[in-house]
Amino acid sequence: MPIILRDGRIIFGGCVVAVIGLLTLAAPLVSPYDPLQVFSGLRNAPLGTAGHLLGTDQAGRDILSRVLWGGRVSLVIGTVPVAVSLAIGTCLGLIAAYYGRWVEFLILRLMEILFAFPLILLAILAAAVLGKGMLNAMTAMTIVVIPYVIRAVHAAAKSTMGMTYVEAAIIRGAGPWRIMLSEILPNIVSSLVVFATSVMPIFIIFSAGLSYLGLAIEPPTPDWGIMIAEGQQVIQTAPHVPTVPGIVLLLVAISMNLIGDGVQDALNPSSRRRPVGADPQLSRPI
Amino acid sequence: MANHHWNSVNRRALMAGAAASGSLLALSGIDNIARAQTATPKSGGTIVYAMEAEPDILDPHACGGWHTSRLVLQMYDQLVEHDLTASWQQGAPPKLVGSLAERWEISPDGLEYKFFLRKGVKFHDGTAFDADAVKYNFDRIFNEDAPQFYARAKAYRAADVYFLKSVEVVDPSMVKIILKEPFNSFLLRLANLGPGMVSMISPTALKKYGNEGIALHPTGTGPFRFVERVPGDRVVLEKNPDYWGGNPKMGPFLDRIVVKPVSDAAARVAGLRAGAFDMIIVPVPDSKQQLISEGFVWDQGTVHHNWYWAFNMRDPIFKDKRVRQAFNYAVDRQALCHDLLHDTAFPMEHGIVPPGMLSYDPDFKAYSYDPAKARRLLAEAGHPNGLSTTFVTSTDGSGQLIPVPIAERVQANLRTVGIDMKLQSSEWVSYFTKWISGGFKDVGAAQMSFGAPDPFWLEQTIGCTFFVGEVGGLNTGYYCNPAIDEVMKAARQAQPPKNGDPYAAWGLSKEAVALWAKANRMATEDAPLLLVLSDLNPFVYNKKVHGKVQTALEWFTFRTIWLG
Amino acid sequence: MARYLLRRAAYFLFILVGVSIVIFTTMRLVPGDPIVYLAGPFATAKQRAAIRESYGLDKPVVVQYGRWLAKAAQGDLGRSMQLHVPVTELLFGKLRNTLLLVAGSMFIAILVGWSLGILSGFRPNGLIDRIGLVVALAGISLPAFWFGMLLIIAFAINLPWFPANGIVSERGDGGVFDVLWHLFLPAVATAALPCGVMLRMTRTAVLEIRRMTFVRALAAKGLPGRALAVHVIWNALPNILNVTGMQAGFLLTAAIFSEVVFSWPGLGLQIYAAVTSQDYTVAQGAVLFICILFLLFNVVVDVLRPIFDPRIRMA
Repeated sequence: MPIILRDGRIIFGGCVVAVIGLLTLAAPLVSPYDPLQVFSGLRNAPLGTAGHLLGTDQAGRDILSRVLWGGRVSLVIGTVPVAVSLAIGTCLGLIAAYYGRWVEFLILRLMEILFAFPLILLAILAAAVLGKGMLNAMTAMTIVVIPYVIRAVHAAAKSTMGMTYVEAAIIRGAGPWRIMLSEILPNIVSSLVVFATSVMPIFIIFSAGLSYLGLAIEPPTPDWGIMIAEGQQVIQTAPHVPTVPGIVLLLVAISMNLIGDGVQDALNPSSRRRPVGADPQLSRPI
Repeated sequence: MANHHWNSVNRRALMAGAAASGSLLALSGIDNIARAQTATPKSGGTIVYAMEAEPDILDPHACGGWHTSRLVLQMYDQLVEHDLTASWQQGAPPKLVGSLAERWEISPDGLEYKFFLRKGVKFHDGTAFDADAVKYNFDRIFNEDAPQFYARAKAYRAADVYFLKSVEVVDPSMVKIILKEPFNSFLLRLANLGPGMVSMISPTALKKYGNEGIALHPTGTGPFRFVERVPGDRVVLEKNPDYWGGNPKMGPFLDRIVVKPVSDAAARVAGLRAGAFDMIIVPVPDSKQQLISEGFVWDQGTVHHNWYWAFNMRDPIFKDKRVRQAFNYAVDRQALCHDLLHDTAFPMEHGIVPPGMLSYDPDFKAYSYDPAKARRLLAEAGHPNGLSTTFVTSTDGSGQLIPVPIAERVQANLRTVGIDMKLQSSEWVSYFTKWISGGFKDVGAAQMSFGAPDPFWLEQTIGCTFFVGEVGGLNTGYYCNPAIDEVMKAARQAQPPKNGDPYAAWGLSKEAVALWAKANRMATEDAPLLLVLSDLNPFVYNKKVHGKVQTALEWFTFRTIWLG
Repeated sequence: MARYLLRRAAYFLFILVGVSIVIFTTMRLVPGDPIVYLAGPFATAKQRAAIRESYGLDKPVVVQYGRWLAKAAQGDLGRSMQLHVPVTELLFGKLRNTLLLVAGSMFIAILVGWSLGILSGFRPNGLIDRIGLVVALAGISLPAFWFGMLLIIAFAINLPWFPANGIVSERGDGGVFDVLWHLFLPAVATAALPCGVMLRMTRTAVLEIRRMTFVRALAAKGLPGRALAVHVIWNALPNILNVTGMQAGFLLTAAIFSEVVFSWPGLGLQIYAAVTSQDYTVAQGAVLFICILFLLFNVVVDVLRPIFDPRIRMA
């Protein structure tokens, strides 16, 4: 895959994400303070205050530390659900495509009902039922993504199944799992990768949005979305408090979008310069 | 009529309280009251008031939140009421005055209350107010056989259900209420504002709109009438020109009141500064300096509000009194009120009963900040290396101020004495629901803010032999101390006041108040609650607003307000 | 054509029933009991039971669902449990506000997205293209709620050009200009994402059409540039409209972030409040509302497609 390494966007995006990711991963070592530590009398301190490079928030906690520690939460919530739903959704999509008939009918109709719910509505409902907390938030988001994965996988698998070599494998007497895994799956992998990289930035923002609405994380755990929501209270007197976490979020989103674009061009040479939302089968714009 | 009689006990209370917090009087509305008395009120104008949440149902018998009550009370009257034209500096709580009842008589055995109703009063829809209307309203709340019975209303007045025997119409201007046993807080409870008020709704309107529809067509006898409600946007009231209590000196003056629900505190402040709102409640404490320097009036005073954690008495850690006391010594309330809340709250260091109540005693020194003592108590109780527990609170909610930042402060305080307090929070409605149903079984303590002007609140909060709800009403920690319950029972069953009793204006006697104060001391010493602070209920308004009286209650009246 | 419409209608109904079942059960799965909250802190179990009965919540779930569905089919969605206001009345006002926000955002997004996209498509790698790609990247990477906050800081606080929240000035006449003035910032904030998506999509669609043989043939035949451009755009329309329609549908609920930041009294906020406070009737009604609208948007897009794309028409 030499193209990937040569694409400037992927390099730049990859570096930024890697740096931010590593910093947040190393938060226990790199963070100057405990993100929950309150500095009495030093609330809403501006940028560049002695000892607090990015200032302090409305409760008197160091913003830099909270951004680093919060990154662990935000990045995990934005990426793990996509991975998990890819795994589950691929299985279900393959099963639906391969077995057909009533299995396919059931799965697809259920997904269609879920599709009728706008994404955010589904997330709100899932969060209301499951409650707060990182695990519940990730479960809610996984539920929300799965229908899209299933539909994409199902469509791609169906078209692959028409291919002669698959028919040949069936005639040879290969078992269902063998066919699904070694004949069909490899052919849709590149579509899945494109899907994953294009959906990831959407979900980073989306999960921050859910935390912003107060549906995802329990305070006082820091997370970029919550920091923005809480900082909104002091927007008049200390605008840097909600702005700083948003800048980091923006950087991550831009980088991931760049990576997504690069990957898409690399893996779909025929659709070079074809952005997200172009192929309705791959990723129906939410 | 503003009452200038300074009750000596309460004056001491307020002065001591002011000295303790350092800047209460300096930032109160003293000059505001002076203005109200010297300037001549002008009639007319529209005031825009931004409050902290969307009101729920505009039905006085069943409204759920304090914010809704503040709105509903403008349209309705009760038989007796607190004098909302008396500022908090003139005594806490305000004395009771006759409203729809001109005067009342209590029988010597405390079982019979006679109310002499005001004559010539009409509801907003023209219906005459009389004893039948009073009975109709009481039946709606209490009488399950009445066609107008409303289950939700009864649920809010559960304590009265326990004591109330019957309501009799003697003649069109006299109503007799008979109790099952002496209960000297009865008058105060009749006058209480907040969720479930015993206000008088027009029977004609109730019959016309039904129990649910009446909330969309409020019809009372109050100084203001309902105009419209656009859910999520505004509620509009207008002056009632036929108000029975209207006069050129005391109002009502305003033509219109526009009430806007604005749930974001920063947005309320922004709107005030931009001139969109004339008056707001619950401003962002951090905006205090800025608003005062821009010429806005910052009005606050002591009210019957207690922000606390109720220890879960079924948790083995908290069975030891020393542990509970240690928690109380570990919190730096002064710093919290001063630093985080800019002195918009009052540190609770004089007992469980807050300054807005009659049984408050400013000379009673309870838990000050003493981390060394806290550590010592913990060690004595068998936790020399500290302990670990989980506390819960809500993320917002009526009267909760900024619960999570406050809780995080307390968490930091506790950590310095070795207590690892894990904090969990949830959104208000689900939190309150769980709290009411005793759902917090596995936590160390659950936070709540509550209060009422009448001392009986103490028994509802920590009493166990008197169970109002099935899970213990407000006593969600399952605290039970029969000795204190005995004192509280004696307090509420004490004889009605004789003539000249300093507490007669509240329907209580000197011995009753003394007993309540004793119960307060006993309870504080036993520490069923982690005391934190008492809200000072700040309002902020622009220079055009005159005549707003900051009462010693969570409530105020628009009647005396005028724009100039 | 008639059979096609009939099938679509049946499918529509099936989805609606499915949706209503999901929301009905989901609301009852949310932990906690709304009656407890409504009854207040002093209620006894007996009093709570009486209140529960008055709301019909003591019957089995299936019966509740049947009653609700029957009434809903007649247009009666019940009353809000917390406000006693009829649900339809409550929702229509909010819906109008959300539609206003969506319309405003789509207007801005289409204006910027289509024009920049088309121009970029005609001159790829030019200056406009580079600007367009940056704008698009920013649009899809900006969190709407944060962008809204930035706009407030910049244009409502530092430069007091626009109001910071609400839909009308409290003292204003509530007239059209007042509303538009309040609409501007929220619309810009909400427009960022759809603008980015549509910009890229339009650009691609135009590029693809231009690469097609018939376009080169027309150019070779000497068709003037402007007429050629019209041909290209007309052929690119199906894809462009497809994406635009889907973005508009998405915005119905995605607008919730702007609604929160700007205190814009819309449907998203209402749903969120109803679900979290367990106001069953409002949540059920609101979700039904939204899903109907969402489906309607998709149906409209599906119906319009054959009009613009003869290939589908013939199929």
